Order: sequence, then C-alpha cells, then structure tokens
Amino acid sequence: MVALVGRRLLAMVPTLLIVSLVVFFLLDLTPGDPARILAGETATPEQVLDTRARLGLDRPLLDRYGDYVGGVFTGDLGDSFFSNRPVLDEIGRAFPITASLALAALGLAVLVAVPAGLLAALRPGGPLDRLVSAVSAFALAVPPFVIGVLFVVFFAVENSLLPAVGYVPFADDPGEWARHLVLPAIALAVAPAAELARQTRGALADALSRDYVRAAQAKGLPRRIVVLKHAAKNAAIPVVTVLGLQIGRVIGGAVVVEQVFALPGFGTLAIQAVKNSDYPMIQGIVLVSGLTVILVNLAVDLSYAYFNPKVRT
Amino acid sequence: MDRAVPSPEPVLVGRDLHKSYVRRRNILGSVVERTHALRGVSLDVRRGETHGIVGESGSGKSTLARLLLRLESPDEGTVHSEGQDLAQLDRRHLRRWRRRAQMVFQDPFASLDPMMVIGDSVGEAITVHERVDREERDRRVLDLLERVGMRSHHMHRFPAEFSGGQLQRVAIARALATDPDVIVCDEPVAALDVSIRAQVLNLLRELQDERGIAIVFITHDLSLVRVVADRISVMYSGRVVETGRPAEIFGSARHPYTRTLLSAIPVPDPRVRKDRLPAAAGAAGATEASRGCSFAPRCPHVMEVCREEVPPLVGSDVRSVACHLEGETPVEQPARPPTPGAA
Repeated sequence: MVALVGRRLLAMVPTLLIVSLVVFFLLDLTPGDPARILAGETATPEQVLDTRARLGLDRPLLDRYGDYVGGVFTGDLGDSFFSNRPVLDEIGRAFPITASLALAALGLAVLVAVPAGLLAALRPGGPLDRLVSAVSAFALAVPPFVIGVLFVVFFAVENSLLPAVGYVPFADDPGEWARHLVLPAIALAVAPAAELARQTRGALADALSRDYVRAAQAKGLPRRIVVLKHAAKNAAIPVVTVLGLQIGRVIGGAVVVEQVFALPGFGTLAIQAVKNSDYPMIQGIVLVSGLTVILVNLAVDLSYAYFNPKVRT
Repeated sequence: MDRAVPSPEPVLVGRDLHKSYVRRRNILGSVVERTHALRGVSLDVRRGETHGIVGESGSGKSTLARLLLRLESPDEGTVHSEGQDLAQLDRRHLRRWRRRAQMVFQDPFASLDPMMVIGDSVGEAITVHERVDREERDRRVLDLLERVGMRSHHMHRFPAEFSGGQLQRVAIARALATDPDVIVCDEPVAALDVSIRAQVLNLLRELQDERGIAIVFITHDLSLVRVVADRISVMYSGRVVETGRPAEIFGSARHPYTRTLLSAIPVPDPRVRKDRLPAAAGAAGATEASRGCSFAPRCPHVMEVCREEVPPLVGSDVRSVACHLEGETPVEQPARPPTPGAA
C-alpha cells in the first residue's frame, strides 16, 4: 500500500512537468504582450523593451522554462507580473475559498444524491424513481451560473435571507463564512448531484438485479441487510468513480460560480491572470489545479481498496 | 435411468401460478403492455425427487423458479410448503421458512457477492438462522466447502479467484448451508464447460441421495434433463404442456410441442436424417393473445378448438398432457423417437 502510494506520487512528477511545459509554450504563443500592458498605453517602445527585460521576457524560451522548473522544485512559483507578490502567496489566499466552496458543493451533492438514487433504485419505475430521473435531467441541463443568478435574485435581492456576494474567512466568523457559502455551494452542487443520483440509481438497480442479491434474499436475510450489505457495497464502486470525476467538474464550475457571487477565489484569480497575461500566475494556477486533480484521483483510487477488497492484493 | 419415485410427499406445491411483468408504460406511467411469463402453472416437488423443467427461453422457467422460492410473489395462485400457504406467512416467518428452499443460479460468476470472501457467503446462510459463534460457523463452512470439493484455504478468497465450476460448487455449498428441503437449480451447468458439467451434476445427485433433498432442475437442454430428472415438465409460453417420467417423455411424447422439441435434439450421426417437425415461423411470444392454446400458431395438428380454448392439463401427477388432441383421434407417434434407450 505504501509502495503503491509512493509510486503514484512519483508518477505525478512527469505529468506535472508535461502540464507546465504545454502551458509555458502555449502562453508564449498567445497574442498579448504582458510588458505592453504593464508599461501602459503611453509607453514608448524603449520603455516596453525595458519592461520586457525587467520581466525576463527577452530571454530565450527554453532558458526561461529551465529557470521556472528549477524554481518550482524549490517551491518558488515566481512573482506575479502585476502585484509583484509571490504567486504561491496569492494562490494560498485564494485556494482555501475555492476548496471550501468545492467541498461544500460535493458534500451537499453526496448528501442529497446518494439517498435519492438509493430510494429511486429500490422501486424502479415507481413515482420516486421517475421524479428523481426528471429532476436530475433538468438539473443537468441548467448551467450553474443560471442557478446562481436565480438564487441571488430570489434569496438575496428579493428576500434578503442570505448575502448575495462576498466572502468571510472561516477564522474570522464561522457563521458568516457558512452564510456566504450556502448559495454558491448549492448552485455548484446541482449538476454533480444530478449525475451522482443517476449513477447511484443505476448502479444499485443493477446490483439489485444480480443473482447474488437473490441468493442473499433466499438465505432469509432481511431486506435492509440485503440492500445495504450486498447490493449497496457493490454499487459503491461506480459511484465513487463518478464522484472523483465530479471533483474536476466542480473545480471548473467554481470559476464561473465565483464570478456570480463575487468570491475572491481561485477562479477569480485565474480570470484576472488570463486577462492581464500574467504568465507566472497562470502557470502557477494551472500547476496547482493539475496537482489537485491528480491528488483527488489518487485518493479515489485508494478508496477502491476500501470499497473493493478484490484490488487490495 | 429412471429411479423409483422415492416418496410421494410433496415439499413444495405450486397451484395455478400466474405472473406477468410490465413491458411498456406510456408517458404517464400507466401500463400499456404486459408480458405474461406464467399463465397458470401447477407443479409439485417431492422429497428426494428431481423434477426437471424444460422449455425454450421465455417459456417462464425462471419465473417459476422465483415464484416457488417466493423471491417474487405470484399475481394469482399459491405456493404451499407442507400445508402452509407461503403468502400467509408474515415477513419474519417467511424469512424463517427460507432456509428450507434454496437456489443455484445459472451464472456462477454473478451468483456470489464479488465483495465477500466465499467463506462469508456460505457462512452468512448459517448465521442468518442460527446463533453460532465464529468458530462453529467456520467449522461448518469448512465442512460444506470440503463436501463440494473445495479446500480449506479457499474460504478466505474472493469469487474472482475461482473458475466457473468451482464457483458453482461454492454456490451449491451455500445452498446446502441452510440444510434445505428443496434446491431449485436454474440452468446450473449451462454456463460451464462440458468437461466440468458432470462434476456438478454428480455432486447434486450425491447430495440428493445423502440428504433426500428435492431438486427442481430447470434447463433448456433435453439430453441433460433426461439424465438427471425423475420427472419432467415441459413448459411452453407460460404453461406446462406435458408432464411425465423421462421414459414417457422421450419414448412416447404426446404433446405436439414436446415432439417438436425432441425432434430438435441434434443427432451426432450426420448420415441419420430425421424427419423434423417444423420449428415454426414466429417463435413463442409470451405476449400472444391468451385465447386458445399458446402453441396453436406453431402446431402441425392445429384444430378449430385450439384457437378458442386453452386445453386443460389432464392426467395424473406423474403423467399429464394439455392438448385438445387427447381424447380425439389417436396421435401418431413421432417419426423417430431419438434413441429410446430409457424406455
């Protein structure tokens, strides 16, 4: 087990190298010169050149990449072109906001979707099953920002029940932190919840139709035990897989939802960085997102060992 | 290979069983089409006897199995076990009853929980019904596994580590764990290589001799049922059309469907040409109109009455036929009954 984790962690290094390489070269190809933006509209060509030199953009691409990678290995992601502050600090400030948003959304999705899917699967074709199918089809069709805007209008503008925008750090006031996260988290949770509910329903309905479930019933086990011990445990594997995939989706969705609710998170940081052609910032953001996704996948794979004793060997 | 019917005592009696499934619903959820899997099947299973059920796929064999074990409840009709109507049992008593009837399924890879070591799958059947400590449970699981030819160290392995034949033997051990009166085997060897079929069949036969278990043996394979069954019921489209001992079914089949079935048994010798009865256009549809004999559209001897009235199953428990030809002009024998060795 430890060896497995070690191997997987080592395997991350080449993946991240490739990610950084691709981003580095793609950025160089994109139009928009950060030096020109930074030097201002009235800058003379000489001033722009000076700025380029100051940012190090006048050096060959491969040299710059070499320096960057060297820095990354020592924990230095460079400084933002614009704020001149270390990229790592900026990310460190924004990341917890997005992480709490994403985790809250996933938590909500699981809490709602798994029971809904389970109940739907117990009576396939029943009223609850059809309700769950209809609602999840609808939920998958509506983009999160539409839900977000509707929430803002209804809960914040019309009824002032919850704050529409902004963020309060957990350390400052846990109550306010939660109040500010409720709406964006729900908006973000809708799509993954729908996907999870469908998967849970499908996986459990499939497991329930298996002969080993019939055999368990024939043994004389109570229905509850048949469902939970035999069917649900087998149904868990595809559900966990889909949950892992939803994490990527939630991080992507957070970028949009953060805009609707004006949360100063990772997504907001990313959008600003792209607008400004803030190369080090973009690279840092891509690297950290990539790392997050890889770690999440690793966690999902490791959880298989719990859900599926067959892979433990 | 007929064995004398050991005891007339039925352990499981099904009477006039009907079951239909929803095939299609309209957008509002009301049923527009139903599949009639069973349309009035009566059957009894006797101690120590192997009752073979043959029929093509879709004839309702597996549905019958599930109804007999009350894994599903019939739309109409009853299943009695020693005078007790299973429908009358409350949930707790039904669960208690379940130990007396167990099932072995067709697909050995799907019939054991893939997340459970086989020792637990077998052991669970014991601990559901009895308070036994871990040691006692393991000892009994071990006995059962050894009885079906597995080794003690297999107990802690997952189903994925075994072959189909091994798993089927584990499934039999699991069925035995509750010490049942009857085991329903739904195509128990259909998924196995021919070379290991005999293993499983012999095991079932031995266990039956040892414990006097009644076996319901469901198959589409006529040559197989001939070897294993003491009594055979032929099913067609949700009804039993003929019942008899193997010698009677294979030697002097009376229902036209049974004879069609017999004529479809492959003959190993290519030089022997058989006068096969027509296999019929339009295979058995379980959704067909329930008026008249279900076999009428395919029957070579079809008469007016066949399209109007369902022929009743007439005769004794051991020998009966459901055909309007019975009592009419005598039916000619099948062109060539395949190897009448058992007769």
